Amino acid sequence: MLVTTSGRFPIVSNGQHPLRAAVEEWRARVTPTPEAAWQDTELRAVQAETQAELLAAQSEAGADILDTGYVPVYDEWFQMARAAPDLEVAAPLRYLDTNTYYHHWVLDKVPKRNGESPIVSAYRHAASLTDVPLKPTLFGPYTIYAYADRQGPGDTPEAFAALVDMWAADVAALAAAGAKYVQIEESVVLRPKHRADFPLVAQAVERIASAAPDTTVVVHLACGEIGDLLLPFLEIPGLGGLGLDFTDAYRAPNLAALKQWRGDTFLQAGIADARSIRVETEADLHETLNAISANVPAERCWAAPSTTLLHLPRHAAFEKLAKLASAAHSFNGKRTLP
Amino acid sequence: MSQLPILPISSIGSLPKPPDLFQAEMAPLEQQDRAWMRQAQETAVADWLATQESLGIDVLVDGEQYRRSITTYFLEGWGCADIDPDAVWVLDNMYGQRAVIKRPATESRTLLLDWYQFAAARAQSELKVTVTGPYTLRDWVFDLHYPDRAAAVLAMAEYVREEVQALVAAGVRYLQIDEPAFVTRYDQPAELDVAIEGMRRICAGLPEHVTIFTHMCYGAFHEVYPKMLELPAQVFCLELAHVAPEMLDILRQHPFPADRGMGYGVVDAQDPRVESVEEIEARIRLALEYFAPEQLWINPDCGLQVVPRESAVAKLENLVAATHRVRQSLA
Ligand SMILES: [Zn+2]
Repeated sequence: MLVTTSGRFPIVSNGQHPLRAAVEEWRARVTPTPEAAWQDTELRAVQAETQAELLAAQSEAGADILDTGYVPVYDEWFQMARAAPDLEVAAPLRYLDTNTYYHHWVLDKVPKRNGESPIVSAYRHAASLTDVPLKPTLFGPYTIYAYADRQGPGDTPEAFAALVDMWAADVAALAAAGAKYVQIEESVVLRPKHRADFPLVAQAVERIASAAPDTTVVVHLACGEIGDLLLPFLEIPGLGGLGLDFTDAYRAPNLAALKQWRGDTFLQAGIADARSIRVETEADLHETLNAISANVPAERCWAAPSTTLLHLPRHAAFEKLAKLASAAHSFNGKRTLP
Repeated sequence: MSQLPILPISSIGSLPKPPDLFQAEMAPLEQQDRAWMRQAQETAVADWLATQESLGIDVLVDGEQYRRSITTYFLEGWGCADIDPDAVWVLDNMYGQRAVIKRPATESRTLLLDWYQFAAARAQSELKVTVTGPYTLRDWVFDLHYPDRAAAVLAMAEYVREEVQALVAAGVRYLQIDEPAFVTRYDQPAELDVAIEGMRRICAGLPEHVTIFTHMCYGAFHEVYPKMLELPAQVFCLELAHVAPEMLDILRQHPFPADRGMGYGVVDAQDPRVESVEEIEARIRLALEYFAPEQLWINPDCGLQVVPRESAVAKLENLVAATHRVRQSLA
């Protein structure tokens, strides 16, 4: 069974990290804006070194499909906004129940893409450093739209379709650069008040997947119950993988939902709780994998953290990833024994 | 409450710290000069009490000048947690140190008692003591000790109850239990029930002269209303300066009960921009469309600790002026 990660990693160890220090130093010498951060060659050099460090750390922990290791100076919601520079990015909002904050967009016009986002160049750099497969993660267009301050022409089906086109163009660029896998983060659609927006997510995924037909497009849904949306998701044309959360309160309902699983979509099984510092035992992880493999063939299943390990202290994030990898690899071994 | 004017004004909790104190408390506890810290904290508390009184705030807070954060202050102080050295990303280039609960409390649960006595000896006006609620004390940290979230919340509820008992015995009449985490897992009814049970255990048997406030912020409050009314608080202090239309809709469907108070947030606690008196007055008048004057308290959205001191003072000044205008028109 392959082991994959899910988005960005924590970096600070004992209060320190060269990127944290470099950002502080940069803030003291310029008027800090996202664009200025992007233009700053010193910062970008430290970001590139951080990528190398995080790629090595993931490999050392035993992961088989890696995140690119890109750590933005602000947050990921800025990344795609850079592809449409006439958009305003406003105050930070709390994202789900994670105690982390992302800057929301002001969508007051139909957005227009003006070049690729930094996610693509980060992918190219990572791919130049390793031969291990990479899975860049993008917050999806629905998440950005759901959290956006939408006004006038920005609050229309045309605006949403234009957003989706921006994502599709970036995913096409990732595919052209060699990405075999891309993860789209749309967890918010599992929240009660957003579930009715499933058709928007389906529209986005179909369009994005069609822009990169040879790339496995994984939609990741953390911190929620899939419930009656499982079959509609599996029926989205082009969907390559679906990430679900099998930890904490979501474990039992999502295991139950798997009885309906069908087709050959990959299941990215979030079995290590990315929001708890307690490192699971191999026995715990095997128990969950057993329950999953009753309905999803092990060869169509990847073991993963339930969401980004960003929410944990760095030492805990990598301990958890290492335990996950050894459990998934030994589960593999067990299943293939005669 | 009888001696308070109509639309009583209160602060929420934290207020900006002097920069040297803020810097000093970032160091690990064992490296801090405790005598210097205590002196600086006392000076800062006394200063904020005097400032709030001079501005015309009716019910004062001590500004939490001696708390590193609303969770670590209690968990470290009670001896049940250590601070993880690997700070966790919060936003932009900001990282926060998180407590990890590792054992039951080893120290006494009377951290707030001498700070209350210190403030009571200096303030002429009424005081409100703020304490972090047990649900937030669990939700915002990591836990390596308790078997599940509910067990941790109920253990923290017992420690908060002991703090509260000591405060009430010392004469506290206004007590605020902060539960900003209450709104975060609104899709999980069992989580809300645990938070409610935690607060019930703290408030059970408290004398009637004690007014219990609760405070929540960052919230999709409409997701937890009217369920939040199951919390045993008399006054709900909410972040409402930019009230969501969904919240007003649900207040029309389920009017707020006449026997509870609403601490209506009328200034933004994150944005340093100082709202004008007119802007704040309009927010109070909007509040009066949904709440009777006798059930309304006026306060900032949240503790003002993240805005610069001048901005916090100017916001409070305009909040008081706007409240006075509305009071006059109600008279
Ligand atoms: Zn607050």
